[in-house]
Amino acid sequence: MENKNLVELKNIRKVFGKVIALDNVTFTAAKGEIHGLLGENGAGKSTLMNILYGLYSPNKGEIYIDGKKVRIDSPFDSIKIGIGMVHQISTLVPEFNAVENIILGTPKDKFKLPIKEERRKVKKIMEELGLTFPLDVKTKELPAGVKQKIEIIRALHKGAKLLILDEPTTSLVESEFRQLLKSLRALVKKGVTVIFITHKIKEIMESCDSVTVLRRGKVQDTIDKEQMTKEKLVKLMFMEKDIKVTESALPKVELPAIKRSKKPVCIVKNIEVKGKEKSKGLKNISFEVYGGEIFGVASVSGNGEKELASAMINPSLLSNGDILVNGESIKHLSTLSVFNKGVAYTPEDRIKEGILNDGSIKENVLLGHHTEKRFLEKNLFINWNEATKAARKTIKDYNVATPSEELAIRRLSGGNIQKVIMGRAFVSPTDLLITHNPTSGLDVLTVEFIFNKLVETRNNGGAVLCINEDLDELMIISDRIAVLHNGELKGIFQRSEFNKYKIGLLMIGG
Amino acid sequence: MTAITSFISQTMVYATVYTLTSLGIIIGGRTGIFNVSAEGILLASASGGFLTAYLTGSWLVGFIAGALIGMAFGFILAFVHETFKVNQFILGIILVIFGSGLSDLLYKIIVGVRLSAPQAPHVPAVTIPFLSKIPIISGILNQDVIIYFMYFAVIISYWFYYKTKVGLETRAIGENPKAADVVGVNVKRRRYLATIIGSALIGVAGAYLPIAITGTYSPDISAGRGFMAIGIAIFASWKPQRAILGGFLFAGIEVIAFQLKLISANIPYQFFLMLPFISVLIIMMIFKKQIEFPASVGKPYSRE
Repeated sequence: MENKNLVELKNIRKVFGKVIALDNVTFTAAKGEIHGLLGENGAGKSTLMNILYGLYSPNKGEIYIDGKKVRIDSPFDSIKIGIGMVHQISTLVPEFNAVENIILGTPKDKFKLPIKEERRKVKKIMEELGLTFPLDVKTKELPAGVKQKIEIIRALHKGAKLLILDEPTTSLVESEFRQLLKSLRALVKKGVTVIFITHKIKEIMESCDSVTVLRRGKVQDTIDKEQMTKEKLVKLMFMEKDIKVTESALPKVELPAIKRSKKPVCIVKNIEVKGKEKSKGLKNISFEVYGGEIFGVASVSGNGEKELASAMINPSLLSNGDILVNGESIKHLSTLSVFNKGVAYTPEDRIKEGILNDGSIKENVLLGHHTEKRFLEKNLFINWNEATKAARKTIKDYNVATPSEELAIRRLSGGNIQKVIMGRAFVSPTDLLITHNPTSGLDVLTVEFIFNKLVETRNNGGAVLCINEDLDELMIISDRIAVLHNGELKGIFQRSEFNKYKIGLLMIGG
Repeated sequence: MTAITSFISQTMVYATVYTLTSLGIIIGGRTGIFNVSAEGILLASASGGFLTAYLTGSWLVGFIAGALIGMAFGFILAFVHETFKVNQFILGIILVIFGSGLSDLLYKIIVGVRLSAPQAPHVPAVTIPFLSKIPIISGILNQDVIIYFMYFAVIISYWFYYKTKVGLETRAIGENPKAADVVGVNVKRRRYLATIIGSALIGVAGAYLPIAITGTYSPDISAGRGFMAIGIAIFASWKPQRAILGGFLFAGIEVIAFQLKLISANIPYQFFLMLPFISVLIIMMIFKKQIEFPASVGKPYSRE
């Protein structure tokens, strides 16, 4: 009897410490389809697929491939039965080129290195799929989109009949997503089954034949293409909560028409920053940010956005140009003095750059404000009473879920940590907020909260510089968007001119 | 002429110790295990290897014992690190202290205190017909079998890392263990194997010190060479073919320092003992930019 389902996962349970990541999950994917796996961050999508791929071992449950029960203890087993997975974070060896990466782990000819022969095979698979990428360049030199192609080819080279893609669009722009979709369709025609993990409803609607929705480690439902509607998927993903979402399933916020300030709060004049290692740095960047506007900077990671964020708060990095805040040059100021000029900053990597991991919430709220008069006694000792007051206010205003301001900040969830960091920016009056990827990895409710705070700042006349990889997000909250590519400013768009395809293309240099 | 020949042959002898030890460290490091316990392994296998050779009367059995002691150390390092995720450097330092204590203890239990030190059996030299009779060249070729073993080990490791797929995979583990894991390479098993094989080579180098160089065991016989070998591994960017260069370089410096010590009466000899270490520091400073590191060296790996 021909089996319709390629994959069946039955009653999978997985516990990490005290957290139940997957609770009695049953999942099936039919042969030759693109099957979506939809859910918020932390819903358990990646965990489930990592179990199928053999990276995690489940506490309970069974796996059936083609109707036969299988035991998968490691990727070695899963590759053998034809499963391939492209992980969210690149799993290529950065020091190796594409061919070397692709032939890793193939069991034949362990004591030979038939590069030439394998190269030919790889080229053939590439041609069949219409994918092109350089084969002889170390993969650390290649952009994320290309690395992903290499990983797909790697899975096919190992004979994958089932291809799992974990959040494949994280670092892709619109046109690259289209291309990926085309390749996937070509694969499905050849009889490959695809499982597509994402938290974006729009992508599911556009690419999948059927979808399984996970929420907090439980399967909500599996539905076919015909029954898929945006409203239905939103409901399944978030259940009881009633949030308004946009086409791209992001929270909807309104930008009321307000008058921006006459003079810009921040003027960036022809700045240049020397790049480190492979980054090209920044070349001759100029823009202005006015009070009462959110100025978005769209940039694919590694195109100078890190240098821009760093230079804004640490002007000693500038090799040329000047930055003015409220008409005064900050070129020769230290980071702390820049903060004291009314600039606040929330970094991209909130754990590494944003907080003192073992410090309390109170200490973290004080950080950067610790030289301000009101937090000092006799200009020398810290006034902890004031610090406590400020911390409590932040916790209250920003809905930080914590029993006390004395709790070590590392014990908070990512969303709550971001709220503390955001709150810290407004402990003292702030004229200019510089925020870098403020919502990355946060669930929709927190994203909505952060969006509202940014818009509130704008509505109160503050200037916001929002550097973000996610163009969808920028299009929701920005008054203007500047595009950064290869360290150069490729254009500034007014809200009325926003066009996802056009801006996305500029982001990748098209 | 004899001075040059003797310089060359002495350098080769010490280069064998340095190269084998740093090669052992490199083999572990290529899978991400930074074996800083080399000094302890050298001492323990110097003592154990010497005593076995002395008691059995066979140099070969002595070297095998040295290698086995090394393997035991390597196993402990890999097991404790992989099972309990104990920091590799802390573990390594503990093993150094353990090895140095164990070496003296073994010697005192088995030999005790004697007026004349016991001597190890002689290691046979390899003689090549005709060539061995030419001056200078004979100094290069007429060497004991362990030196040839060292050349062999370097060539085999070079072939392994750069000419085989298993070698490519092993290098992948050192760069990004997750990358190797997701393509079905058993990271844990490779780490065990590499640490144990690497430590066996360090054990051979340890046994070489008393059996082939000094002829007998004395406390602190390794004299910091296990730590110098870490420097060589780093200087060599964790490449076997460069480790042998580093081995010869540092051996040469050591022999020169030793000769200088003999001829200069006015300078305290400690100054010359210090020279190899100072030169490591200087060489590291000069080559800082050229040095590459496998990205995962010293870091634990777990899937979840």
